[in-house]
Amino acid sequence: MEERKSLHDPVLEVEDLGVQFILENETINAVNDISFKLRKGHTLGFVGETGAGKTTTALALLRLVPHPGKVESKKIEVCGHEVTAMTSSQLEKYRGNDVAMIFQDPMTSLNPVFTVGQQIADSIMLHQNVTSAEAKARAEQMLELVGISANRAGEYPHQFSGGMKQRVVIAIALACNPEVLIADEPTTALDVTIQAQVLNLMKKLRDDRRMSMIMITHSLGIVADICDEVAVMYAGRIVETGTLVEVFNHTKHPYTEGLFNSLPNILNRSAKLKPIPGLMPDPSNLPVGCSFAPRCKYAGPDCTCAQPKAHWFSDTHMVACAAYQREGFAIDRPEKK
Amino acid sequence: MLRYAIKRLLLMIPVLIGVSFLIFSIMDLAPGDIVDIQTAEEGLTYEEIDQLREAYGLDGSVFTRYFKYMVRFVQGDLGTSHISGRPVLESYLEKMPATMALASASILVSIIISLPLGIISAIKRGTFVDNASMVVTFLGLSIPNFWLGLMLIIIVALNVSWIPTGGFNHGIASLILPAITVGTALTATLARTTRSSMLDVLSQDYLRTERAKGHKEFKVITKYALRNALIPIITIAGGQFAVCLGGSVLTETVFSWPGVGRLIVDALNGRDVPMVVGSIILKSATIGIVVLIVDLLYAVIDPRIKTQYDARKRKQT
Repeated sequence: MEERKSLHDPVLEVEDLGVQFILENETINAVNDISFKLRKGHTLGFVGETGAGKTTTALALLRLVPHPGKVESKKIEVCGHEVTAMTSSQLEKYRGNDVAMIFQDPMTSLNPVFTVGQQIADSIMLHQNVTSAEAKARAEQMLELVGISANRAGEYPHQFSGGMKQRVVIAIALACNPEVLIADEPTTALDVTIQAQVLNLMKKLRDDRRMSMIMITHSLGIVADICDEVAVMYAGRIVETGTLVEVFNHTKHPYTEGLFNSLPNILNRSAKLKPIPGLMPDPSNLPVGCSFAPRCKYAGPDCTCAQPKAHWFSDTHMVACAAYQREGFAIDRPEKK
Repeated sequence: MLRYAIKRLLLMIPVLIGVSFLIFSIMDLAPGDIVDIQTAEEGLTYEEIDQLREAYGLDGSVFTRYFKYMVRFVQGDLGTSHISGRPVLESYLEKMPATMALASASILVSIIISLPLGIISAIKRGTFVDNASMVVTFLGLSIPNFWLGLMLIIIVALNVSWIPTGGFNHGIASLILPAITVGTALTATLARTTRSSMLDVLSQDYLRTERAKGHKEFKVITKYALRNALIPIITIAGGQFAVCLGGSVLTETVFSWPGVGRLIVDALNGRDVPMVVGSIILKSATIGIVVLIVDLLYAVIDPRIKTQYDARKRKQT
C-alpha cells in the first residue's frame, strides 16, 4: 500500500480552495471550498457548465485570478511548493515552468504585435539559461512539434488561422516542459475537424512528455477521450469526482446524470433532447443547501437546509449529494459494466 | 510601404494648393496692405501709391496674383519678403533649427512626463494616484504658456547661473526652460491618451498569457502592453510635434527664441504677403510630412497595419 502511494504521489494538491469576487454591492462566490489531487502523469478533467468556476479554479492555481478576486485556501501545493506562499520572484519562476496554461480563446490569447516565434522563444528565455539564438531554434522546434512549419516563426498571429493560433498557444505552454499543463477549453473556439487534431496533438505530447494535465471542458466526449479522472463542477463546487469509469459508468450525482441525459442519443436520432430544467443559481446569491436542489428531480427537504456532505463510494469516487443519506436511494441512470 | 509613402506625398499637392489659396484669399480680405502701412504717414499721391502697389505685385485680382505666385512657386521660387527683401525660403529655413530643437525638446519633455503618468494612472485607475496625476497634467494644460515661461525665468533662470533667460546660443542649457514651458502644456492630452489606451490593452487576454509565462509585471506592462497601446499615443505625440514645428509664438517671444512662430506673426503684422503665404505653405508641408512619418510608424509598431498598407498596394497593381 505504501509503495503504491509513492508511485501515485500527487503533483498537485488543492484543499478547500475558494475564490470570491468582492464587488461594491455584491460578492460573487465563483469557487467554493473545492479540493482535488492530480497524480503524476494523470489527466484530470473538469466538467461543468459555463460559470461553474472551472477557469477561475485554474487561474487560482497560477495565482492569476484577476482583480478584485480574492483567493482563500488551506493548501495549493504544486510539485511540493505552496503556491499561496510564493514571493513574486518565486511565482515568476513557477509560472510557465512548473505549471503552464493553455488559454481558452486562441484569437485573443496571442500578443498581436510580436511574432509567434518571439512569443515562444520569450518563454524559453525566461526559464532556461539559453542564448536568444538557441531560444529561437527551440521555438522553431516547438512550432514543428505542433505541426506548424518552422519558417513561419517570423509571422504574426493575424497571419494564422484559429486552429494554428491554438497550436501556437499550446507550443508556448509546452515550451518549458511544464510538470503540469492546464488546458482551459483548448478546443472550444475551434471547429470540429480542428478540435480532433488539437486533441490528438495534446494527447500525444502529454504521453511523450509524461506530463500531468488538467483538462477543463464542457464536453463529455473530450473527457472520455483524454482524461483518467473527472471532477464535475456545479456552481463553484465539485459535486462528483472519481475515475473516468466511475463517473461515466457508475454515475451517482443527479447533475452528472442530467449532463449525460442531455447528450443527443446517437442510436435514436429522433429522440428529443432532455435538457436539465432551470438555470444555474446566481453565484452572488447561492442557496444555503445544495446549489443543484432547485433543478433536481430527486430533491427533498433534506437537500435545501445544509450543504450536502461528501459521500464516498470508493477511495476515489466521491459524490456530494444528500439523497444518498436516504435508505436505498439510486438515480435512474443505469450502471454500465 | 514605399508605394504608400509616395502616394501620400503626392496627395499633399492638392492640400498645399488649397492651403496656399486659402491664405492668399485671407490676406487679400484682411484690411490694409503693406503699402498702407508703409505710406500711412508719408502723404504720397494716389498715383505714387498705385505705382508702389504695382512694384509689390499687389495690383490685379486675387486670382491673377495667386496664379502668378503659383507659377513662380512650382519653379521653386517662394518669393522675397517685402520687408527684409530676402528670399522667403532662406528666412524660413534659417529659423528652422531653433524651431526644430524646441519642438523636439518639448515633445521629449511631454513624453517623459505623460507616459509614466498615463501608465500609472491606468494601472491604478480610480485611485488617488490616478486622480492626482490627472490633476497635475491638467494643471500643465491650464497654466498659460507665457506666464509659466516668465515664472520659470524669474524663479529658475535668475537663480541658476548656467540657465540663460532666453536666446538660442547657449546650447542645451538654453533649451531647458522653453522646452519645459511648451512641454508641460502638452502633457495633459498625451497622458490622457496614454491612460485610456493602456486601459484598453490592460484588459486583453494576451497579457494574461504573458503573465502565465512568468514575465515580471513590470515587463508585462512596459513591453507587452505598451507596444500595443502605442498607436494612439504616437498619433497624439506626432500631432503635437507637428504643431510645435509650426512655432509657438508666445514661448518664442518670452524666451527671445528665434523660431518660425514669430517670423510668421511678424510677417502677418507687416502684411508681408509673400512671407506669410510662403511660410504657411512650408509649415503645412512640414506638418504633412510629420503626419506621414507617424502613419508609417504605425506599420513599424503594428504588423497588422503594415499588412493593410501592403494590401492597398496589391489592390492598385
